[in-house]
Amino acid sequence: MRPTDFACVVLFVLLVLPLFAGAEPALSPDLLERPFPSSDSPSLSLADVRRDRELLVVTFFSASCPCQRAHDPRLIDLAKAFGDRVAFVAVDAAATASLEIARREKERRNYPFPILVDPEGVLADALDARFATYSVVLDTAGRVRYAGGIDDDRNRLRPDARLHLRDALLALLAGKDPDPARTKVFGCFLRR
Amino acid sequence: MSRCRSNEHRRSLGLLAGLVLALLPEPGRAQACCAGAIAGQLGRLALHEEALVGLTLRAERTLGSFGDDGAYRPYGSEALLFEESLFGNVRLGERVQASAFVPLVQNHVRTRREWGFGGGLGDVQLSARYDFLFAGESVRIPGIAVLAGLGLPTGRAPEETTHPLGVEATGRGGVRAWGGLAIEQGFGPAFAQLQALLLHDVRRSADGREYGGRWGYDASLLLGASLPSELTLALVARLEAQPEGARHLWRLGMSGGYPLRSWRLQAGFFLDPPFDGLGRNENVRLGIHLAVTRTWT
Repeated sequence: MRPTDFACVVLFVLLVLPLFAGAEPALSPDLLERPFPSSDSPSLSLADVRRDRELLVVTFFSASCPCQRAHDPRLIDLAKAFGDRVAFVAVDAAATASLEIARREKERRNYPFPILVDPEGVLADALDARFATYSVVLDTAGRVRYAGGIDDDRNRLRPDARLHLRDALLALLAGKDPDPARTKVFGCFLRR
Repeated sequence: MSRCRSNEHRRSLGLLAGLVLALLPEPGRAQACCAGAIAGQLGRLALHEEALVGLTLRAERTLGSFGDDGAYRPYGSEALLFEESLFGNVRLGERVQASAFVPLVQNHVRTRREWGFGGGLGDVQLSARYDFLFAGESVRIPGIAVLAGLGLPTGRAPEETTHPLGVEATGRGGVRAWGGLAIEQGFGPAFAQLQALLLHDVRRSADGREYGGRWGYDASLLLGASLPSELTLALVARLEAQPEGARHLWRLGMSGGYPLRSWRLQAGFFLDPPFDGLGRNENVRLGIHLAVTRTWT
């Protein structure tokens, strides 16, 4: 390839890239339908969890992360408050994830939603999840409408924390785009 | 009198109860997340932090010294060092941290015949850290980081002092460069870090004499744990040696860290164990430090 051709290709890529910047990533229908071992029944897919609800919140989970434990009450409150219109699911994507851990932790934490077991990190890879408590809101088409932290609070659950996930759900249910749609996550690494 | 003593007892019991309560788990709270940086190393950014600035106060007392034969000899005089340092650290991208450390140093020495007090700006340190893999990122592989730094001769060198006790000396007099590796891993609330640095004092000459030009190393093992009250404690054992100069010294320390929303409190102490064979051609010191750090996420 001549240098001028190479320069044209680079220029084309640079010009075209911004067109994709605003595109919302989406989970493929295969992944939405793919069953994972679950704390609640032998296996569940994300579509099974969502059923006919408008939105699905997928929160990546770590059994050993203190930040996860700190955020449990807020996550449970959200699931109870929005449960009619929004489905919630936790995904244990650590390499050590197991059905036994999922069942034990769901019972210990009184989660009103299932924990899916994904030790291969299929969902984590698809949704760019690296940290526990990382939460993604998917719409009916499987598009990612919000991704990030549950709030801007690391572990102290202070009253003036910005409740990012709750605000995103309120905006989406009102037919608006969440602002911000991407936030920072405070959580431990998902051990892969 | 007895009432006074009873008040003292009550105060002591109150303090003890406060300490116990601080260490007990509290409902609705949790351990500090990803706490390796909280207690162990001053001025290091924790996983979710983008920048920090802090102030540390340090006080050291020289207890004695190890001779060329490795025997410990107590110091007959009083030698104290105080240091107030400003430090800052900023994250560049996800895996790089760059930090600066600016110390102000004061020395106080008193012998039977004379005493002296002096000080000034110490040696400014610039350092960087690159985390190839963060601790906890992998189940099998521990966190691995490359460290590098430079100590600049901004302080006053020992040979530049005029006081007979050399109390104005606040620096090494030459450039010191270092580089090395840190390996660390978390095990639930506990964490361990092994660090090895290669040190080099750049050669310099002053008053017709040659200084520096020697290599050394600094190796340390840190073991720590996050308590349920978010307090993080760490124990550290460190060996600094300069084989060419026939110098080495063991140092033991303990430190604690406590996060307060956007702030972090750290405190600790260290001791160079004054036992024969645990050092050579080095002073033996006992020290404490206290640091307050403002962090940004």
